[in-house]
Amino acid sequence: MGLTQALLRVGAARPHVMIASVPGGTEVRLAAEAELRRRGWPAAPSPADADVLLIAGNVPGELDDPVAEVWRAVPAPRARTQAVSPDEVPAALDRARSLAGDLSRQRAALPVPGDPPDEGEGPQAGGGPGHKNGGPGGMQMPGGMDMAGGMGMAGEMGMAGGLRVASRGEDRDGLKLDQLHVPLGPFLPDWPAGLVVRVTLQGDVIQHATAGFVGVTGEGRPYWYEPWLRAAGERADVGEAARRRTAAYLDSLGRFLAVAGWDLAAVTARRLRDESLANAPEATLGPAVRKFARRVCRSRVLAWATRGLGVLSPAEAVAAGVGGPALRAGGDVCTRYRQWCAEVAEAAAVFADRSPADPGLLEGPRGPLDGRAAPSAGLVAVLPGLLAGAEFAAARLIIASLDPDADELAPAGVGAGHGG
Amino acid sequence: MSAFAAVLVLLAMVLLVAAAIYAAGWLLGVARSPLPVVPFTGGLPPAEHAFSRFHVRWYALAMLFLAFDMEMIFMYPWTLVISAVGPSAVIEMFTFLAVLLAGVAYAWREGALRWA
Repeated sequence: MGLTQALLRVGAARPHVMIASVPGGTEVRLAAEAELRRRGWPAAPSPADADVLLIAGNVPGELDDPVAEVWRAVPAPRARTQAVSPDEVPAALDRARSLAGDLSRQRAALPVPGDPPDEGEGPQAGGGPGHKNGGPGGMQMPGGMDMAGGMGMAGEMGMAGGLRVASRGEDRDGLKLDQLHVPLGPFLPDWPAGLVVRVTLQGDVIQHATAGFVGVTGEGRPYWYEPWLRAAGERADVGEAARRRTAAYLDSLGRFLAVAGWDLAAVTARRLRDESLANAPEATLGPAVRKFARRVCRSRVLAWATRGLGVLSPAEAVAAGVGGPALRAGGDVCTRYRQWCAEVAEAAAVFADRSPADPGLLEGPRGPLDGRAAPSAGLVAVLPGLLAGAEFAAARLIIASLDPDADELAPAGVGAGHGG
Repeated sequence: MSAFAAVLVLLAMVLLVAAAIYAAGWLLGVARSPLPVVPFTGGLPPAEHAFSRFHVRWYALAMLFLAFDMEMIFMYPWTLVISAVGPSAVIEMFTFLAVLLAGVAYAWREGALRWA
């Protein structure tokens, strides 16, 4: 008992934290990421690796089940905590750490068979649907055998691990192949909050995709657009708008680079993003941002890995209502991240500009927010077309290179109905 | 100590270490039973088991792999006897390689290496 407690405390000294960010929680997520970096706590990419599940923002009703599903997959010792405003983040993390390192509370919270899941902070017992399948492990072989036996009959359903096995459909080469329907999101690492993409996979090629946001409440104003929305009433100055724009693009770039596997550059992007938001002095931040943008822009490996993926021509972009850098880039994933880099470097030049911004000339990070459909609704609308025919890994890069933002959408936002 | 005794000692050690690992897990773990989970795709339940049939092109790729594999298997003993047997071994080996490479070239032409 004493040894277990000691081991728990050692493990909890540096817990792996999975941040589940929900629409409207951008500011909390940024605070949480900055706080994790300050403390040196690693971010967990999946529930299996997580000790602490930090929910950033107010969970809308639509996302209750996905949050519960993620929590169910976190192995003990574990702690669940929530922050609905940036100031609550440090306290929430402290609470979670003390909970993750406390043996008696961990043991008390272990799931008891047949127990209904209890609500609130702290370890929770899982017991909902999908949990009592007995796990996918032991039954794989019988399912596979069934399927092999039933090869001749199209549309026959076998079972494996309590789940259906895939049925077949036409492939592009005229042969039939198993179709897997895989939902992606809403809580993946380096993934836009609230985005759900449902793909139909044959092998690793996406045959069909639908995309939409879930859990968009429309409460509060979109974080990245604050200076522009404010510029209409009280004047924001050019420098402030430039900082926010830089931070928005660096946030998108950080995600994109993390998905592309360039972790070091992703960390740099996020550090610069936080410094930009924290009003770091222009004399040091400006050159650092420009240097970073130049380095990413010049990388040949990254260009090779992304060239020709997700080509969005300007005409298609305009037709779908896409504005901002995705329209200005007018090309593949490679041109889109280079556009971000170029605009970040441009914005970094006017950090010190204190003149009032002209609302007529201002445009948010993802396009003009002019009362018509939000730019991110356009980005989501072009996703199915770009994803069809792409390989699975390329799909993540394409989504990261567009990086739609749920905060822009109104409750009855354009893309909201597709995913649910 | 006979060779058989050494094998037995090794077997006993293997079993002992495995048992110790299980015991440590049982005694020190917070939860005594493993957590049954489904694959994580972001919080939505999977619709189907990920077990699915491969595209037929992977079988062509597997045949290609076999061609290279057989090459290697043949070459290991060949390197040991080449000096004793002389030029005839070299001729035999390269004839064999040519036959296999013809197969590879054929598969390549048929598009076995074409992706997506």
